[in-house]
Amino acid sequence: MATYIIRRILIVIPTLLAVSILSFTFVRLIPGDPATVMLGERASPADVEKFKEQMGLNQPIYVQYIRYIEQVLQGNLGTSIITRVPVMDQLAYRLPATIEAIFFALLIGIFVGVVTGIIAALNRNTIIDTMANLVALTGVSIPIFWLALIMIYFFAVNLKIVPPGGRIAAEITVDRITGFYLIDTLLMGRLDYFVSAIRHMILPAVVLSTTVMPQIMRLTRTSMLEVLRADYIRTARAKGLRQGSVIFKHTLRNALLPVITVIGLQIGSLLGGAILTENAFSWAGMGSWFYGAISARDYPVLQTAIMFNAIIFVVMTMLVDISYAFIDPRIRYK
Amino acid sequence: MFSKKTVVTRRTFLTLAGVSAAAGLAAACAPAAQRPAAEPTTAPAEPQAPAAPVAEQTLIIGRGGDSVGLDPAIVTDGESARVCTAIYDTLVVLEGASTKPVPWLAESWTTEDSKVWDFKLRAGVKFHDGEPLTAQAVKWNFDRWQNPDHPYRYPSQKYEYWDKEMSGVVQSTEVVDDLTFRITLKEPSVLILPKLALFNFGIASPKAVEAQGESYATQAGTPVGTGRFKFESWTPNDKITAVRNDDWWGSTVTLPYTQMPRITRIIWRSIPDNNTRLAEFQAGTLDTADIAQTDLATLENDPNYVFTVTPSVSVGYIAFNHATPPFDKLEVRKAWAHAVNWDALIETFYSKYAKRATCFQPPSILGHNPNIKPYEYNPELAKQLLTQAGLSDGFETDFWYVPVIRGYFPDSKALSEAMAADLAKVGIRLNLKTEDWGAYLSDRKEGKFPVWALGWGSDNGDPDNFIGYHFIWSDPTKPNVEDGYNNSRLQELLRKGRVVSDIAEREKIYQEAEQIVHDDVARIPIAWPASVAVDRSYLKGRKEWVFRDQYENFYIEK
Repeated sequence: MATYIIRRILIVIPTLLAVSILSFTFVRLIPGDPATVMLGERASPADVEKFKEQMGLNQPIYVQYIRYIEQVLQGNLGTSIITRVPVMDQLAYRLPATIEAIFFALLIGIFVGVVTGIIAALNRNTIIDTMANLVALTGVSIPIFWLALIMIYFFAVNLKIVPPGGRIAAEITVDRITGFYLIDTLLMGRLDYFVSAIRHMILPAVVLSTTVMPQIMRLTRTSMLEVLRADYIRTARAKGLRQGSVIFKHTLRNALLPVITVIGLQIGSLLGGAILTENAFSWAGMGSWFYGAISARDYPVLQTAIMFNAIIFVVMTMLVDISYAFIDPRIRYK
Repeated sequence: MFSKKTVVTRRTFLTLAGVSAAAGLAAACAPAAQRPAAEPTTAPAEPQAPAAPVAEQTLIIGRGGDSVGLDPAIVTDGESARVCTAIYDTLVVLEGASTKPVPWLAESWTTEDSKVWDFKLRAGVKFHDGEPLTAQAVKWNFDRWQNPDHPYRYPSQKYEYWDKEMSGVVQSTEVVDDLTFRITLKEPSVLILPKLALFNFGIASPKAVEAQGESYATQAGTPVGTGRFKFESWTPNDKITAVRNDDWWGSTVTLPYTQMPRITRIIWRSIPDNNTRLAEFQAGTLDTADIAQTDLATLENDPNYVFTVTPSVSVGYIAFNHATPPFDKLEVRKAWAHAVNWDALIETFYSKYAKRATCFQPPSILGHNPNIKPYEYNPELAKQLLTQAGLSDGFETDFWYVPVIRGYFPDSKALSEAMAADLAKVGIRLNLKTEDWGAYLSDRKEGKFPVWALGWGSDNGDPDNFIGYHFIWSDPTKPNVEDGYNNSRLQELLRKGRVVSDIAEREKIYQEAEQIVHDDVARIPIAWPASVAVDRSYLKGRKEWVFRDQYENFYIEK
């Protein structure tokens, strides 16, 4: 078991190294360079040269790469070419915002997905099942930025029941303690601020949850159906257990195992969804940060973005693999 | 004043604000407006009407991006500029409705020969950190901008606007006495005044810059100026907040072109997505917002919004490389100008606030030549001109269009396609091309395009920054690298425009320059897009100013 886990962890290192080399090269292969993008209409070729030299963009790419890795190992992710603020500082601002959004999106996604999945499975091949499947399919196919806009117009502009964007009312300045508004507002002792933060959280979290909800729902349904056919469920029913007990104690617990592993992998798609969702809700998190960095060719930020996503993916896959080893003993002996 | 802990919702503010603003306002506006627009004078400390307590009024502005930094000397982008102008004061500002330089931190100035300029500073002005504004403090700022070895400059900082606008102009600066600051120029020039009005030359508190070092006025620092608003907080990529500076010098001085602001707090919110910004504006969470030209129509007939159209200070044009055949022939350039139905293009591809450009500079820029008539739409004449140039069968060329949305080219691709259709009728066949914006800008600078689309927006309203920027190049004896154009008379005129101080004479110089650009068809100006500001209708006071921010004009009345 321990060998399996260690081996699995060690494999992460070459994977990340490969990702870093590829992303470093590809980012710099995008046509257009930050110097001209940043200096704009007014730049003379001499200005552009000077800028490139200052930013070290003139050196051979492998030299730039080695310098970059050296810095990263010292915990320095470089400085944004555009804002001249250390990437690490920006990360400290952005990461909590995204974690908050993803956390709530995941909560909503899991809750709604699992519940509708169960309902669909229990009502297999009825109109309820078809409806749930239809909604899930629609959820998968709707572009998230479009859904965001529709939700903003309906709930914020027309009904005015939730705010259209931002993390908290514009008049409120939250003290920077943890970076998590929901925690910091409470630490400040301001319930009204907390409520404002919650209200701002609703739309983005709901929209973002649609990236994971359909998969969770469909998987819960399939998995439930499979377990419901199992012998031990028949036994449970045969010994006279109540329906609730059969469903929640015996079926759901077993059915949820594959769902849980999939949720781990879904964090990756949540990060992808966050780019568009955060942009649509002017949510100052990782997603909107990366989005801006792409158009500005802000290499250090872009590089961090790719590495960040890669790390999340690799680590999540690793955790899922390891969890398999716990769940299914056959794996660890291979 | 407005601490982070205060519990006031925006609604409460506005209700409070509405009542007292209505009362306080009429009084506040009247004296300023009725004052004759003669040379501004400084009155002795005579408190203005709104010195009486005004209710809290918060102005929430929705914009497309965050500021890069708030140290005006090292930032160049518009989103940084619009916050810097509220926090810092420059020695001189442009009047607002016109480009006339008027006193600001300097209450007056004198010069004998346009070479040595003495600026008399206002007495009793304080920075937001309580430090006094003195000639020494001003000199400290100039030294930091000018001297690469200044102890408070850092390698990561570029002083782009100083290097571009001032380094070739300013010889030295000195402190004459505590309130007199002298600038000596390399050559006599009147351009120093509009240049000093650039937001980049806002005066910062030396003490604050020294204390904060490299992080001064970055997201991690605190900008300190003498301006109308004091910096309060910055949540990166979300918002910047500033509160009114109740000790602003403007509260003790009566000037026809300014007054004490009535807005007590400004929040600049970054909302990158155009649709989201529009939605926020419609949901009522923004008082004013930058709205994409294409979205203006959605708000147009709604009484909740007020549109203010400001005179154009930009131009979209077609540029030729005069060194690349067949554009070396005047007839060919002229044929191009005659072959296209520009009016139809402008109607289709610009907002209704844009106007057909009759010459290079719009009417608000000095030297605009009202006597120039644009080349009329006449395909027959265009064909004749091509025949005269020996190209009776027409010709084929690459044409480069702008890859991004610009006010001066809201939809460059579609416009280019329509233009290509018109040109095809006279035998000019276009291969439409574009590339990444950054590459586009540098390639045209290096003269790689035969003919292309681009535009310009004025930085400071001066013709030297408009027609001068395009047609003065470093070596007047050789053609320009960018477009291969050379006209020695034009060079002579534009260079003269930099030193002549008499406004009427300067205007004549630039008008002649305009005529030359027109006659040579150096470039074809297409449109002057006007900028349109949209406010919620309860936000009052906006004026048709283009050359200065107007935070002191706004007030909320609900």
